Amino acid sequence: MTNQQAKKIDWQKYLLVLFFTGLIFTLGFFFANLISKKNLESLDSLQQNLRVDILSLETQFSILNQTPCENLNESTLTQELYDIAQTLTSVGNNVGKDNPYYLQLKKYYSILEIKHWLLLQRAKKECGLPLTFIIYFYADKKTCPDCDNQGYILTHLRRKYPDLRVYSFDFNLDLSALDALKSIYLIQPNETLPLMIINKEALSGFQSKDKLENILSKYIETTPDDETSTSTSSTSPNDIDL
Amino acid sequence: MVTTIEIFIYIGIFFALYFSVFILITAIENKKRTYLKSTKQSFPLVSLVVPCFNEAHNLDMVVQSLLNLNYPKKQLEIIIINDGSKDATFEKAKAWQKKYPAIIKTFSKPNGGKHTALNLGFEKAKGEIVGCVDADCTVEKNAILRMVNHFQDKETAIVVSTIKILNPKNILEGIQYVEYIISAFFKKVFGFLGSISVTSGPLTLFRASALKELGPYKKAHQTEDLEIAFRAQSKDMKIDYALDAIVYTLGEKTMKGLTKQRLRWRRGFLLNLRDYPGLLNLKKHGNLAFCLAYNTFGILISVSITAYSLFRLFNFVFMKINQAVLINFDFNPYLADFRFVLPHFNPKPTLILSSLCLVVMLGFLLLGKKLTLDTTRLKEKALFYLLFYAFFNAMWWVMAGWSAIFKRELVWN
Repeated sequence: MTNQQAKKIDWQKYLLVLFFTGLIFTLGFFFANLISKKNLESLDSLQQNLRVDILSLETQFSILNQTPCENLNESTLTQELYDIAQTLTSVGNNVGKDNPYYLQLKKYYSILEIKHWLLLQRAKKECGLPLTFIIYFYADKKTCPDCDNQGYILTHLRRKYPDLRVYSFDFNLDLSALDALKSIYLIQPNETLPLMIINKEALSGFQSKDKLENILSKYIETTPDDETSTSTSSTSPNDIDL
Repeated sequence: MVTTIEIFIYIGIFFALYFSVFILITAIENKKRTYLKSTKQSFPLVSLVVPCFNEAHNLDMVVQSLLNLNYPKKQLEIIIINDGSKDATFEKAKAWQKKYPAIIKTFSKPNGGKHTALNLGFEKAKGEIVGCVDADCTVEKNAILRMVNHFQDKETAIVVSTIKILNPKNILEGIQYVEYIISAFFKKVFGFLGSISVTSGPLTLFRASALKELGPYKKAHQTEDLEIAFRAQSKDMKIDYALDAIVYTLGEKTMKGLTKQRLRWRRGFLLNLRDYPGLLNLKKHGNLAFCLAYNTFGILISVSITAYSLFRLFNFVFMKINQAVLINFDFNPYLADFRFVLPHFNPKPTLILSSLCLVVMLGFLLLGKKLTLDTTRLKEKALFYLLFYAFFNAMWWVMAGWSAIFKRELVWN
């Protein structure tokens, strides 16, 4: 075979290669979408579990007409909430934060957060649980450049103080339950973000770790008790804004 | 949501995959032609030129390996050219000549660069087949015999060999070892496509008549072995690849040395391609034009994707440092409550497809290892190759591009 013959383009082969490459490419997209779909399904099932658990606890409250303090195991519920946050963050990063389905899931998650918060408020009051709550409002990076950093500090504090519960909400999420929560604390639409409410005390703008710990010292034992730590998840709900 | 950078990455991955599939299909359809099956063995006179510049410490190794060749000594001529060395190269060469006067000839000339030494050697050579051997190499004993067989095809003008790194010890040599193994597989496939675009310096044989037609080696931006291949391709001369003819070369031991070498090669590629633009003519040079165009386009893609990956990596490191500062380096909660949590696996198509590219690259390595009959343990070397090579490669291309555009001459020797 001469060199010219060897160099001659076999267009059939080039087209066959194009076909195989296209096939591999399509399969790559197919598998990525398949995994994404599975994750969405697992998120659905996680949300469903939490909904059932919250409903079950609410029903117990109603049947007994009082909070069943001796059987109350709120750490499981909290863990479930954090697991959902972790999955939701991952889904958001994958499908995009503007994806309508993701936004729908986020709304549902926010409602579950509010229900969880209400339930623990009641448990705190009736069973004397030494819990402290932070309601944290964040927004996207464009509107709130400091929110990423604030979220990280809150995650750290949640890990450090086992009796601290952090609920994070997208300030711009179109959800009536969230609007109701905002109205309780007289939050205006033009508030400076990030915004935190620590036991009814509102804090606008970025707050350093030291400042937050200073404030928290009024409400909780600031020496963390690692032995009794129940916060095992590496992800906090506010990760959803990261 | 797909970002602009993701679209660019998809295009890059698509082209990389296309080329990989193209190489694989070509390898499969030519499987039976991987090794040359010769029924008759001929022993034409072979003249091997060894150009030397300050190679006193390596000369014994290369000459000894040439004397050990499994080839009739009567049909072998070794020509050592001393290119104005300042060390004892010439004295050593003379001593070898004295010991084997029938085989070894020695010539000395003022320093003029490797191409001038080779040209003098080829002028003095009497062989029907002539070749060049780098002085820092050792030739496997059957290499010449196997390469000579390829000249039974009257069309074949040039035969190149498989290069391996001699006794790789440090990480850099290991990376080069893997690089050469992968390159062996690619060169073989390029050979099937009539698209070999470099005649390797460590060991290449020419049909003397073809070399005469081609003319002497040129300085060619200090990549004379690349230029002569381009010249041969522009004249449609056949360059064959002897996969089982092995030559061992000393790897660059330091990053400085390796960068200098690769910068010279890449700069040479860009400038020689500029000098031979006709090779990119798809109508005239078909597969070769496609391979060269892919190589050139691939440079842009690999540099851009590597730069983006590095940007992401630095961003991540910066974010982690920033986070540590935010919590006043108080890692106690994490240490007290440490448990390994599997990251949530939710890959984007880019991750799946780039992982596939890595798998394909590993496949090429395994094929290269198998085809070059390599028995070396490659695991650690392959790991370091996968971790660092893309970054090094991108860096060398950027430096070479800069040097080629701004016409900075490289200091060599």
